[in-house]
Amino acid sequence: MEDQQNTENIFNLTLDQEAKSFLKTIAVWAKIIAIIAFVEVGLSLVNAFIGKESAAVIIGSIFAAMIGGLISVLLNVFLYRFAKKVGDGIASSNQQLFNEGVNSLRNYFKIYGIILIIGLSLILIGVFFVVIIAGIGAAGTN
Amino acid sequence: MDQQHPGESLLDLELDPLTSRSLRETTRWTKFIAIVYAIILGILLLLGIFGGANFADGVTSALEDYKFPFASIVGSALLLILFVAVAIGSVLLFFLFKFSAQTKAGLDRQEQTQFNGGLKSLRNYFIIYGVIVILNFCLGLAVIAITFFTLNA
Repeated sequence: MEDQQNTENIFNLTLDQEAKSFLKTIAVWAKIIAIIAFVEVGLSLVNAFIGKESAAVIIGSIFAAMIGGLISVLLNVFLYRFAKKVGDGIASSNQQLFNEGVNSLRNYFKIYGIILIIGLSLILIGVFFVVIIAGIGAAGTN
Repeated sequence: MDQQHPGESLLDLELDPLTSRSLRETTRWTKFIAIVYAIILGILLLLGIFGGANFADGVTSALEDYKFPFASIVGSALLLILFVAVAIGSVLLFFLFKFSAQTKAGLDRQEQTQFNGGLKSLRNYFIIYGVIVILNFCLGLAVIAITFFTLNA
């Protein structure tokens, strides 16, 4: 019932000048953030080689940089797409571009949320194993 | 004569059902992210308040063993950085949560003012986040430069 009411009234909301101005600023900052993130991925890969002496440390650093880089690129591609499409959509009054841009923002926060869930789950699993190992260690000494 | 591109409208941009649905889903995820980070920041704050003094003393005594210069202030400085990070993080989360709440309310009630308020909060969130990203990037560049020159010296 409420959904139907929302759908019926959906076009009451428009993108007035104020909303457009906010969205333009958001797009500019989102683009800056995404570009810096892409550069940081490259730098972290370069940094993985610098100052490491053993091959094992270099391989470990590269592996860590690649995992972090992959996640960062995956996230920021959507942020960049949002910035580009919403910016262009507003500039040319192109509804299709604007819709695709908003869809990219949804995907950005969705992937962010999923990565957060995975990260927290891994931390919880890690804490669980540490507690179990500590418990076994304590039982062994008694 | 100007050619009209696909999707280009002679009317102004509007929030059609598709965009509205995408924004609703965005607000659900941003609310989730804000709440999870708020819990994490709360835990960090509690750890800082109740375990901060012990942590600062531990860091100071460990660094003094290595005759590290300014060892006495490093522990306290790290604790201060933690509190500043929690404060900045809280402001960031406040704007993200406000975006979720106001945009959802704006979409539900079809209120332009609330909807615009939500976008304003998202703008503030991205500005603060952007400034942090730029500062972090400059700091990273400085660390790489120092490492590079130290190795070549």
